Amino acid sequence: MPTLRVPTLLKYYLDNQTEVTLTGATVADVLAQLVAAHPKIHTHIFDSSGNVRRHINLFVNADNIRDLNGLQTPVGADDVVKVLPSVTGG
Amino acid sequence: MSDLTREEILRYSRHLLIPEVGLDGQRKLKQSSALVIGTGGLGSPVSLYLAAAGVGRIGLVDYDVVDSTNLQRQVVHGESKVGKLKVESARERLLDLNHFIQVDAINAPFTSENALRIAAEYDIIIDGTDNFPTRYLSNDVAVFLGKPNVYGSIFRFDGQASVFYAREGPCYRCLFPEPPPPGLVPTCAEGGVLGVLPGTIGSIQATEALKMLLGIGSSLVGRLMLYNALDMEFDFVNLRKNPKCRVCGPNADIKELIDYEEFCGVPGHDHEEGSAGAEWDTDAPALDSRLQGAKPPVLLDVREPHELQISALPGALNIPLGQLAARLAELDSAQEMVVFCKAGTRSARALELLVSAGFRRVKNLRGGINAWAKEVDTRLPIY
Repeated sequence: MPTLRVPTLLKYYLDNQTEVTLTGATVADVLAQLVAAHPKIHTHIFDSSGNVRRHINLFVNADNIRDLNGLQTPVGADDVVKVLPSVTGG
Repeated sequence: MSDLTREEILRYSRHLLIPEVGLDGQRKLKQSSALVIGTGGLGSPVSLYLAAAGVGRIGLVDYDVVDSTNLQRQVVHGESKVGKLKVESARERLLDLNHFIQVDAINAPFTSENALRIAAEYDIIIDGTDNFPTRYLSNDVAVFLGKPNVYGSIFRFDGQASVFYAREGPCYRCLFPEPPPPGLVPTCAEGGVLGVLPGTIGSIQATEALKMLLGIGSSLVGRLMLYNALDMEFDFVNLRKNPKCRVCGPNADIKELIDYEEFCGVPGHDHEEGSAGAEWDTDAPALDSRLQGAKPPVLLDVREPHELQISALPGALNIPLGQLAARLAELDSAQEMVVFCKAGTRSARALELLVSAGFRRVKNLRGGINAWAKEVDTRLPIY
């Protein structure tokens, strides 16, 4: 089953976990599973129209899904989907 | 090529012994220049290491003064500099570390009006800012001037670092076309940061800057480094140019600097004395007298629960800002309410949310519980 990983910023909406294991054959499936299991994270990833927010990047392993097949990028059991929001502290 | 004195040769001997640096490399560093934007958590280690390494000219841009909450991580400053200008404090420290270099202290906010002129004088830009408007500004300046932008950013236990260099790879906007909506991603002033974290990320920025100036090694151009200090994990992801990038893509439509505060919907600096705007604010003494009156307002504390251990107002209802939208049903819009947080920034956002949900009898405590601790109940700590 693919793993989904979030940074500290978002773990508070995942019951303090930075990694969760989910089912799904595409990034879209994995995200759907994620918000179904952890509804509090929805607004931090999706805007009110249901699109992924523009400051959020999604990677499958080391590659941005923008450079792959977007939300339809397939994911296998050993893949890691990484959610990467912009942070601004300095 | 400017030569090194006998004293400098001795000082930099550990560099001269490295084949990748050597005498030629050290001369290159002496001739080179770097602009460090922000003299805070990241700017501290970056500027210290660049100075120690012998980068000949270092520019420091900041408009702020040193305060005691900076000292947990901003190691270029010291207790004797509290209340002094950050750029002057840092300049003094850097010259004490290495008097062979030139340090330009630019005591001003970095803005669309002065940014190109300031940055044009330096070989490399180092983004040590703490807010989105200045990050987008630093990126666009680097793209327009064709200079590398050595990026770092931090939050709590997490850090990111990369080198954005549009001539060779992606820029910051390629990765993050737009900032988050105001209030969704907290700043370090609101959410905190492990003091040593900027030391790690800033040191990586300094390393990348030195490698770029020396022209050695493989840089972070096209890669983003992710660091999780809590689990001690480093990860790297690939970054590619975004063909739709509005500033460095083939159809770029941003050709000059814009209004970055408007673009990001937030001011280009932290508001420690947070305000929601004069008509929505109340100050601590006014709230004190209202609380002692016949019809005291309800107090809504939008801080995180662990902050209540530091200071609290008796009787206040605690709903953290992140939960407010989902818990509006617990509030009575007919009742007068004063919203507060640590310094007034989060409560100003909470107030916006409440007003957009139909609440009208709400005020923001300007300066937050810290202002209350300063002006009303001095037994409470300020944090």
